[in-house]
Amino acid sequence: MKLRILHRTEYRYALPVRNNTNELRVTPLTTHRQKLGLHVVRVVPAVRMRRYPDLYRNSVHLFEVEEPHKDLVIDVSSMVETFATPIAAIPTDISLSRLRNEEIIETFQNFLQPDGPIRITPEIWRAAVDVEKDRGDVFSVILGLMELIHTTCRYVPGATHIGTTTEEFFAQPQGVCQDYAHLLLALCRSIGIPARYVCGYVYDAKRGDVIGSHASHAWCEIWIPDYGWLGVDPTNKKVIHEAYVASAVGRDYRDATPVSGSYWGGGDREMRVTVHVEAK
Amino acid sequence: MILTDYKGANLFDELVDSTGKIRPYYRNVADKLSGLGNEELTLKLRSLELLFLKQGITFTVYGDDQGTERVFPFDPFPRVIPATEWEHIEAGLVQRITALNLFLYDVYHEQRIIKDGIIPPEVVFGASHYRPEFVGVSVPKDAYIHVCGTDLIRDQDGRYLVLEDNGRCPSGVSYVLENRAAMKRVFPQLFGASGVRPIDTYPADLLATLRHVAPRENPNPNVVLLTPGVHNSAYFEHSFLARQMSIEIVEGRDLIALDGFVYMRTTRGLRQVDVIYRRIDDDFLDPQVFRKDSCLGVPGLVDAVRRGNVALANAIGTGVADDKVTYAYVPDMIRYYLCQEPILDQVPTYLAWRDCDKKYILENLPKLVVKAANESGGYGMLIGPAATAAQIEEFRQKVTAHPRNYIAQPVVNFSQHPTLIDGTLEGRHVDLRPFVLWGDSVKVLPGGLTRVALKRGSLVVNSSQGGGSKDTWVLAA
Repeated sequence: MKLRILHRTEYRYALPVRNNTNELRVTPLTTHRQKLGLHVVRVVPAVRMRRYPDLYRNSVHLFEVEEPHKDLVIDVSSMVETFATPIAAIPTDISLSRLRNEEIIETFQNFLQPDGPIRITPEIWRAAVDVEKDRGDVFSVILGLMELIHTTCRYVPGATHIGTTTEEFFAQPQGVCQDYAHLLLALCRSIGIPARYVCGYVYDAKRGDVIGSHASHAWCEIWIPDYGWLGVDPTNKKVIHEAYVASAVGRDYRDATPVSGSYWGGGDREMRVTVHVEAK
Repeated sequence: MILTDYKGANLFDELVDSTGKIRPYYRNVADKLSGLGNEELTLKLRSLELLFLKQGITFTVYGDDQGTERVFPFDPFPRVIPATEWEHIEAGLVQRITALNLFLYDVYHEQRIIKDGIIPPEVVFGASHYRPEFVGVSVPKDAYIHVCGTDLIRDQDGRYLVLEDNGRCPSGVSYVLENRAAMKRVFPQLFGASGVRPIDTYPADLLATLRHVAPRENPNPNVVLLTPGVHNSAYFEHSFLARQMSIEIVEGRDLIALDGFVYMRTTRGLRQVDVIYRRIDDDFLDPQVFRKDSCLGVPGLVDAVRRGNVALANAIGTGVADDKVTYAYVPDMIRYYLCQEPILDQVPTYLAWRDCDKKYILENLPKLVVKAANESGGYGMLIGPAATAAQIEEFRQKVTAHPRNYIAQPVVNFSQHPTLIDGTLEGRHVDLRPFVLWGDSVKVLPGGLTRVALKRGSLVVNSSQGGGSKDTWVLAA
């Protein structure tokens, strides 16, 4: 599937700000399930763009607006080709004990720890163990955990903020895709399944069918031995498919934030984000 | 129209591949054209000609004594560009205009690209269209080139190459729109089920681009088009665009600059102007700053621009970016400002001011195309293989005397397209000038001006040098 993604972030500052440094993680990754074609990042005011790959191989754009300014516009357009990953290829006979392996634990250290917004409380662990105990293999445990999230949580924009932890969300399960993804990470990690956070975009052919398609979306990738990273979307209770485009991965939201930065200056700030994903 | 006799040549042909088979995306239009009888075709050609004459779609040739205005020759066989090819072109153009605008911002501010040693200072400061008067002046939204017309050609392998960027006052878009209108009227049956992307939003997009840089917070900014007047070669286009956008077309004498603001003289008194879509070169804009003898400009205009009370599109000083020497550095600019590899390739360029390049140029003049760095419209160039010994000698002296003013490129035997010449189809060289708008978003008009060199074997497509044009079809899928 060929997708064209337009991602625009606009800031308006009440008072002029300066030395506005930003990092962008908005470049679709190139993996076996997606290929980045044409990609242009445009920023107004005029800035020189730098790029580097971070620890998780995300492609990061970095820029600084030094002169005082009151408006900042970041326009990203990308063409991505995605490939189908058949569900039938996902192994259903990998037992969880395969994950209790020194090498796996060492390799995926970062994706097994609670940290930052990912808090593993006794309640979260208990819920995960309850799902795990009647199921034999990793994939069916993941499906079970998504089912659990789907029945307990409600999608309510504005109920949480970017710093909401899984502990808070699990106690009051109303939130957005970021909270859903963090919770699935906490559930998986609590029973030793390596899981990482993914930020990206979803194409919604029917408009209104997929939650999260109007902005950047968040989901998870789970490590399954003999298979690799499997993308699952807890918000929509789905294994990800051709309509999903990943732009960054990491331990949690903090590693994969699309736009983050700092500036000198006070006063109010308004932000507006628009995302359009079209099929070509 | 008889297509069966048409043969490709020893270069890239737009219609047929190397085995002589019609390319799949041309099949639809080729079938429909070959279904036309000779009589019908003659009739249609005559009505096309009449249409262009009546509409006054003309251009002016300088240095010609026999009536300066001419009808722009038009060829009815449209050029077709498939969606995937267009995607590549579009992305390449967006990348290029982004880099060029960053370059212009930079050379009129901190000049980091020079300090970092990416571009030698003499390239920038030696360019005749560099405007040191504008260093440190901020323009709205840091936008310098709002409208860009980039010339593309295709080499033997069908690869699109950038030939030059036109970032000052690119013209030709009115022909793009008029060609399409004429084709629709005379050959409506060609369009059925062909999936041609429409181009009629261009005037609205251009107006939005112009309004985007209005300096005042005004929901209804006053945008005008500034023309040098009826004797300019592109006057048809100026009046056409002004009419399409329903904005006023003005000459210098219709404007007045007072106290740092620009006003338009109207029958109801003065009216403030916010944005000027100027189709006058920098040199003639303001006699107080640039050419003292200019009667076309507005004294005090530059001061108003500097104070940020009026915006010019394109901004002053963009000529340093479409200079033919600067051109050689655009790939480096893309790498420097965007940290990306260029999407569109360009023609290898030898710069006469580099000693080793100069030596090569002087030794190989008969094989090269030599161009003056700051001329446009096909004036002041030498096509080595087609030149006489005297012409070559003339350029040898010019290059030796003013190396900064000349560049040389290998002759690219660029692609040909079937063209109707006296009732039969013959291959003629074509180029492509797409138009890019840099406003709130970057928009590339899905189409462009395909110019045809009507003289057999000629590589010069400029209308001033005997070129014609075609309708250009970009397919939706």
